[in-house]
Amino acid sequence: MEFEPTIVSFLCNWCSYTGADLAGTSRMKYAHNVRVIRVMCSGRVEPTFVFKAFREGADGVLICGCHPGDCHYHEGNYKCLRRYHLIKKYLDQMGIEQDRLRLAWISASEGKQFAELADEMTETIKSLGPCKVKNVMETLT
Amino acid sequence: MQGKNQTALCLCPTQNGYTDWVDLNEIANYASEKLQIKTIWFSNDLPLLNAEIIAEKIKQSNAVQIILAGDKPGFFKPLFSRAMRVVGLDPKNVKLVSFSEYGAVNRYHTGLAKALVACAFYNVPFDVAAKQPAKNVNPETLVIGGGIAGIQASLEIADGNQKVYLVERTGTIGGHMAMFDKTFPTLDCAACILTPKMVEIGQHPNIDLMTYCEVIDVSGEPGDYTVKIRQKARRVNLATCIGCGICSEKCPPNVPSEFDTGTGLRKSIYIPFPQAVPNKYLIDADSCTYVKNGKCGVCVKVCPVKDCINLDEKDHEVELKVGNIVVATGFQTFDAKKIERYGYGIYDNVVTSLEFERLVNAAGPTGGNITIRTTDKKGNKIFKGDSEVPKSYAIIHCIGSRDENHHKYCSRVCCMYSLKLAHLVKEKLPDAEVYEYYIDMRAFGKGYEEFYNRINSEGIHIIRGRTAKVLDKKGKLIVRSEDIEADKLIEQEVDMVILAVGLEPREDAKHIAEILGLSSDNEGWFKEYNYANDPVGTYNGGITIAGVCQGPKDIPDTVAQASAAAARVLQSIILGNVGAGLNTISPDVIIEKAKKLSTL
Repeated sequence: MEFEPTIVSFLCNWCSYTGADLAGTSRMKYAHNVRVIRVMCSGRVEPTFVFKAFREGADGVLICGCHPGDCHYHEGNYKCLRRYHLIKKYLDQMGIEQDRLRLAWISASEGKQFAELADEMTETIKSLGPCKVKNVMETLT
Repeated sequence: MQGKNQTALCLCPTQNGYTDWVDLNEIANYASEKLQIKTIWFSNDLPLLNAEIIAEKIKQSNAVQIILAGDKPGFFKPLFSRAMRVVGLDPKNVKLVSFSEYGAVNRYHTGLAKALVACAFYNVPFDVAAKQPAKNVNPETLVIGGGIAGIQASLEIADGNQKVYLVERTGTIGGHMAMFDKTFPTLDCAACILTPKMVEIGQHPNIDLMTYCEVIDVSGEPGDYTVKIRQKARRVNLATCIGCGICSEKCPPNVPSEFDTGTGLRKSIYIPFPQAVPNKYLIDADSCTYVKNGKCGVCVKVCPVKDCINLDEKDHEVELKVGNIVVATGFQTFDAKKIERYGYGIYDNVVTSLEFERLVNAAGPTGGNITIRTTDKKGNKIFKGDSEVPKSYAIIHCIGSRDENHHKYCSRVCCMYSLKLAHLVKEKLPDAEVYEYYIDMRAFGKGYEEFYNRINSEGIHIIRGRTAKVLDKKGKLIVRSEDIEADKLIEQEVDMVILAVGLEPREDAKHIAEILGLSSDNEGWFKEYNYANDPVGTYNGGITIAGVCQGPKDIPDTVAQASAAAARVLQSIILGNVGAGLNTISPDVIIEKAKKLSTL
């Protein structure tokens, strides 16, 4: 059976969630592997959210926020960007491939872009194979 | 003591050249017959520079007080005061009656003007005579128009725990703002701001959303209106439609989509746009094959829900009882075909700003690619995502606004949205050349000047000067204009011309004004109670206005005004009563009251 990855995505309420919604209401077809969690702002995504997702068995994590300058809370997406680079470094140290985490800007009218992003991300994760962190953690504890 | 015969009346006709102004002859007749004023002058018969002659006339008429009534009577006051002094009377006895101050601006308001003159004659302040006991108010509110103004007003009132009926003419709320790609000056995506609000409207327990409806009649008085609404046949059951979209896939006709301003196609059974609220299908009777020929019915066959589509549904009427009405009917853009020299409708690649807005929108017909207009097999002129991309653009400001031949006013938003469009072109195609032709750059709001400076630094050619003509030269467009700063005439070759069309009142604004009894100004915008200190109230008591239907404005101002209108409605609900507006009181009632209060 082909490997079907699980991708946890954190979408900001104002732009990206509406964008994903638009992809749905426009009846665009995209990979079903993306599981959406709505957050009020991409700045709300704490590093622990990402780590927990991997620990619980996610194969990839996608964070989407408003385009730079568009944030409903002025600077939430910039904070997210800073955190994102830190998390990436840390993931590497934990033995998780950096490509498993991705940050993208999706506005409310970019349903098509969201659908393309979901497909692209699924392809990347498929080529990387399942994330081993969950198994490792279970063996250790 | 002033006697009846000791009053002289001077009527001042309008200086603005209005053709439909208050009938002054009728007022003169009324004054001489009913008020028995013997001396009546018209200001344009008097030698206006000579106080001596006027003093002579005052002496002859034995008058001790003078009423100056009409348009801008204050203009004549210094002259008459001087004349009174010459005669030896108190200059304080010159009274002013300005018709426009109380909204008497056309011949329908002649009765009101009579009441104004009568009050001055009886020496009773008009506001005292016109004051009516407040009426009990029905706490339910009607909001007409589902654009951003209507949405904002509805949400504010509904969040105040009051019932709102939101009536919208098209199949979805959202209005013009839903069509826009970005908003200036923050470049926020318009859908990011609007769609959460639209969803809130759809789910709010206090809001009764009535789409595809039109208000056809309003009767009653402030606080207790009876409103007749025509529910146009949607032909799809709102309650059972699951929005699956199978009907739309199979529907045969393809017609220009109104939401995409004709840049793309839609089916006969359709959702105006994917994020519509309510997200349910509707059938456009004008293009439906079944409605036209009685044959087809494909949608009924493929629909998975039983009895959801009823092709024979007819319009029906609904009656509502409400206490307050908020009018937020919005605008339409100027029809660029009226100015032939810019070539709109003649050359394919001359587009209006609203069309261009749909082109750059990622959810638009081209998926956000800017392309040239193409003709499909059936002759529809539409835009496709895979056509050729124009390399140079001209944006021409003030189409239909600030123009003696069309609209004299400034539409307020065109300069800013043109800058925004220039920015969007540069963002998508960094190598593109953008030329902006403007008369004056009106960047008046918070952050607007900074926005102008920012766009200016992005490498856009901003040229000051009016454009004379757009010409066609072997498929390319030539823009012929002046460049005031370089003091020469220029011709520029471009691939696409964007016309920054102004805003104008909706075609049926007059009809709406008649239904509601609203006054409107010369251009057709609804008249507010007082431009400076009550821009949301009207002369009709329980009716408030919000948004562009009152006059051109941008989104922040529209939202602010909508909230203000909602505050006015909530105030009257909390007080439990609503003041009667001037338009709702008969002038005879005012005159009777003035007579009673009079000390004469």
